[in-house]
Amino acid sequence: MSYTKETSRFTRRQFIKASSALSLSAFFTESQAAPNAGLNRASPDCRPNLLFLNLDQLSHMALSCHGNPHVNTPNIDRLAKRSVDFSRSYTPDPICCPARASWATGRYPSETNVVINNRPLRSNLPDYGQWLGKNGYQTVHIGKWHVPGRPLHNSFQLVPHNSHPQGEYSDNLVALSFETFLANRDTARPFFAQVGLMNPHDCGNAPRTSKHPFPFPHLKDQLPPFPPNFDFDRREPEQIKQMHKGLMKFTEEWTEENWGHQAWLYYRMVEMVDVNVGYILDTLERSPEHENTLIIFSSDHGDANGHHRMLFKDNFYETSSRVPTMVCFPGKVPAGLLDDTHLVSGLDFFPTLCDYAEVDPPKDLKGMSLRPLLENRSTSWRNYLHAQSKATGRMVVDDQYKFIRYYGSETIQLFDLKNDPWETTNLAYSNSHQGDCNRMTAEIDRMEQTLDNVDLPDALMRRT
Amino acid sequence: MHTSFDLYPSYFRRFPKSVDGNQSLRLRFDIHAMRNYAFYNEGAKRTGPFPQVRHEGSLEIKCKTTPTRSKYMDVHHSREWSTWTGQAPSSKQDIIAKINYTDDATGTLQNWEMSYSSTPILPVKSYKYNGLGPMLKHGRIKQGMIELTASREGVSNIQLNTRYPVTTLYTLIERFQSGNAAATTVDYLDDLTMLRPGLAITALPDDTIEIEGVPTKLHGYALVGPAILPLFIWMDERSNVIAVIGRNVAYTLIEAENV
Repeated sequence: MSYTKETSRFTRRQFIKASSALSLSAFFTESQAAPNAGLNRASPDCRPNLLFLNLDQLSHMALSCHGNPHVNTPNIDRLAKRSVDFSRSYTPDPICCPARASWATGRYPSETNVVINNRPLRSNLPDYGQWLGKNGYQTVHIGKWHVPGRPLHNSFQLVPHNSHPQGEYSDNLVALSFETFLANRDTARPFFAQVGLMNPHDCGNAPRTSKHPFPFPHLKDQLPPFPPNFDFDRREPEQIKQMHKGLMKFTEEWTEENWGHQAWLYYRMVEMVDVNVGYILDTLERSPEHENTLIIFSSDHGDANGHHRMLFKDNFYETSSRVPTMVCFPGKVPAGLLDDTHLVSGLDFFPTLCDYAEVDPPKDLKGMSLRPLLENRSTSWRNYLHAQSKATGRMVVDDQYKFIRYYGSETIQLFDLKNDPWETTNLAYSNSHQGDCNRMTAEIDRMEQTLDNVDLPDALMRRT
Repeated sequence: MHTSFDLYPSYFRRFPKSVDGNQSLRLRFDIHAMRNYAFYNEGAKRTGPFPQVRHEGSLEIKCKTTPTRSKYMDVHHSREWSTWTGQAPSSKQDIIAKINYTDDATGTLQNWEMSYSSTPILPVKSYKYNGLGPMLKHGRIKQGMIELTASREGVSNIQLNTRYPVTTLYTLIERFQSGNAAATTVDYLDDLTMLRPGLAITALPDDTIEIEGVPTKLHGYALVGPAILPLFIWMDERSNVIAVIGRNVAYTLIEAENV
């Protein structure tokens, strides 16, 4: 779902077409190196640096490069122009701890034990900090981690900045700490840096403000109107109905101005952290490391931001579960390529990092390396993408549909993402879509059989 | 009551004596920060109210007058955070700066030196400590451009275009304290490094709130625009900047004196 169709960058189809007729070098703006320029396996010094730059609560649709007219993100837009931008990218779980534990381990929340915030990570799963550290990388963590039960120093060799307060007064410092690390790092080894910025997560606190009249009358024309799915199909699983009920406690009396105020604040937070992303990119681009650093940029989940009359996250609607994922590697990865074909998950980051680090990944990772896609090599890719939520929720997406089911709820959801990108009509009860529901139910059941799930307390499985 | 006050008035202090803002002075602020999620202790037991406000650092500004239109200040801006409620701070970041700026309505920056350091101070014995820095940076405004230079090898200049007078939290506070600030448009150099261009300083309606049991009339301004959450600057009848309030953080004045 985007506000407008992206037109300023290449789609993968255009890329493939062009590559058959033109020199591929036209697509590589940072250097003239060929896309498959080999990494020297014999010399560990030649392996690329790996920067995983992550934000918190950034929706895919909340960027100007994705067509949103209410926000201006020149720095992330700049990154998009230098990256492959995977526009069909979803979080493994649309809330902080489960998503982050899945990033770090490459396993689904039902396998990591982190099925809700603050449940500890299963101890016998290696994480990417440990894995890359064991394999010759200097590993550093800066900013937000939020993987419960896995102390940072058990995962990273350097933890110079370990806090995650509100982004409003901490994200500047995360960017400065990355700069300081870069100036002080061990240049004999490649680095893996996980840099976690907080915003726009601060929107969790914004409803305190949004319930008041907008305090700047001269800026009222900046307030976004109701989103196109403010009215929607109310046939929702019980777990989501309960969320609506909780939100109604403070949004029931809200006017369009209050909703607009909330959205306005969210977009200012997105712009706020965009400045920090820009500082990090500037710092890297002006350093000798730039040409040999792979950047993965993503967010742990999005924010409902008024869509479906919801706020925050922890649901499968696109605003909360679909996140930006951009991968930049100057000269090695096409710049400005919009991939709107492949279904990508946050589970894919760990195998991708291992692939570029030239180390075998731990066994049983559930994600797939993005490297073949990034280097335009033929590969078989997934037809279905899975995500989980609230311990009991399961989502599966294919090239057209999204199917949602929660254990303990009889109400299911099916959305046609091609023809109803704002998810306003639940097709699960349409006779003509029973086949799709059955097919996607079977796909969830098939996936469950492949997972090494932990036993969860009954109370958690019953919770709504 | 203005929306910006909803969490913080209990931290405001009265300043019955006047401080001459046009003489050398020292201002010290406590930083009170709002958390909306980490209200558990280390045993995962939920504690305290929601939302929760914690003391998470301090800001000290020492300004010196000079016979010219150029002014000078020393700044120590320290932010320290706990992972868990009630736990000792686990991470601390410091900015120490020397700033030359202009005696105008926005405290326009001229040149500055800053030192940045990050110190994890985790209280758990088995943790290692990996402080960073200090990283030294020099900044100046030259022909409408901000130039930031890191002194360490490997990190070269950052240049940022500007359109409006370049100011920062520290010099703005001093300009308001001295009664010299005015509503205008500025480029805001947050933490002396992150540029948030094109922000408006706009006047707010006066308000009256009770501070330490005494009704106090406040007048204020907001810094508002793209890439920032509105920042509200409130002054008492004597022009003491008693609070600078964002959405998740408040700087509250605790000491003000001529030196």
